[in-house]
Amino acid sequence: MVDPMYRQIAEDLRRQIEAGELAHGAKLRTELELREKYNASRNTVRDAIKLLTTRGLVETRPGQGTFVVQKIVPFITTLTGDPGAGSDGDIYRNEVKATRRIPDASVPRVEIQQAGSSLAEELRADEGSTVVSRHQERHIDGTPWSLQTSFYPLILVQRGATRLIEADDIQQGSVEYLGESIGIKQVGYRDTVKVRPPDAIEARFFGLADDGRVSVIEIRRTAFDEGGEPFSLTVRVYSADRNQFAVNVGSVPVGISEVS
Amino acid sequence: MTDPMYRQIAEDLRRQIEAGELGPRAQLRTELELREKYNASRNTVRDAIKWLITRGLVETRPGQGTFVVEKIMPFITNLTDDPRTASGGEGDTYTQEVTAKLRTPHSNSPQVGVQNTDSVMASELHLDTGASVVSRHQERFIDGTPWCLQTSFYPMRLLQQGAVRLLEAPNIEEGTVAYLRESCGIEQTSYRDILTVRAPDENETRFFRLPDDGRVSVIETRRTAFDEAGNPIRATVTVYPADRNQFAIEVGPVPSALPAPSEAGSESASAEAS
Repeated sequence: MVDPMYRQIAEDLRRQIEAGELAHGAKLRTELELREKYNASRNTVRDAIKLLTTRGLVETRPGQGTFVVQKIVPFITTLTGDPGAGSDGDIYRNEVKATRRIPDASVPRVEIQQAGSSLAEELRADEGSTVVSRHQERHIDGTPWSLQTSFYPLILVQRGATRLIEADDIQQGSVEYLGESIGIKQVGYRDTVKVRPPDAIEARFFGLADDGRVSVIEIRRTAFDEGGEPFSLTVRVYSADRNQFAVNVGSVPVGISEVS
Repeated sequence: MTDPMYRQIAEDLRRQIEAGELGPRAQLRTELELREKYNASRNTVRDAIKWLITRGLVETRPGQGTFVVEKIMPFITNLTDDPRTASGGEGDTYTQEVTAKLRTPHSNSPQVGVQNTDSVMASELHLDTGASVVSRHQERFIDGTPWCLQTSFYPMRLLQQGAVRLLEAPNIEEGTVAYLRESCGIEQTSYRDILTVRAPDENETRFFRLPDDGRVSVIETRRTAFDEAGNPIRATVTVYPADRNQFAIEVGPVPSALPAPSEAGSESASAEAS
């Protein structure tokens, strides 16, 4: 069976993109030129472009034309590591620096709120109990990279971790700070990873199209102390078009386990 | 700034769906009824429905109306299992990993091939580009739903070392990690996964029965497994649709189960069930 015409055109353009004949950021021929080249109707050419758009290979900018999507060099975040070695804030900064890219995090927006049922369950706190949330926007090389919100039971502040309610970046990292201020040691954590369409705030922050084609990756990290009790929940949302994740289990050879 | 009318309508319907006032499979009011209820134009109501479709909350069936989408019960794959006892994704061990969670797994027989490595695969397996590898490809289902597509690649030297069944089509029932240990004494002691989220290709769209507009992404995991000496012994590429899969990563001692699973999504299975 022969593929329909629009698929043949899309295949031909895809081949050119993958072979580099049409470079990233390059402009495709106009609709009229494509109609002439392939001897095809307007609808056929449009269907071919639509298919390539769906596959994330090209994008149409109103009034300008259709362009090969410019790939952002993905940033790899390692999700496994020494749980005692510091917060993911530190890991984020170190990993970014190791790849010679420039990280930037906004001043945290600190809020006090009541835990809803799912947050309460994840922190094993009572529903309606008070939690502190710290929200940050993170950029790398000026590109919006992730949105992060950490939740801590207010009891930690009452026990002495008062900087959790200050709107300053905790430079040493929150894991080290909690150890130093109130002796909580992070011995383990569990990440749950899911992929979903962005909400309106995320779409705006990451600059994603409104059609839901680029997903976001949501990672919820629950941190546990020596007694096996959760003491923080960090929710990080990453845009799928510029992030990859690594998981190392066992003694992965040196050089491979490093950020590539 | 006030949201445009269509967004307000969409938000209201979304709230009803998330609160359960509109249950799974429930039919939405007709376009005409919605226009009356919200005092809105036809286009505004259509834009609101379109927004909900894009977010995977409702679906329109031609001639029948618009319905709340029934969510597939998500399946959680643990990516941090003990590398020595995992199944390598084949055979009985895999089946047990999934069956333990009260779900019924099914894989077709592997499609076995010999192929040349591209530069990416060659560097992952520390081989020269173009070197031959054995590939074993499987389609996996859970409870009859297409769950993932998986292909494992093994260097040819493993065959010379005695792992001849890698070239045979039947499932390796004991799992490939156990088989490599028994047949050539190779112990898998570590692995590294790289996760990427991308648009599905034609074949994936068809197999997972995804909507043709590309709004459901797939998650690709590339696992490189190593022996005690740190040599790569296998690369496994697994593709999961994002609408029915989640992943867990556990580091250090963490309580063995999630506290009182309130929803079906709290199940887990080995990554090697991948």
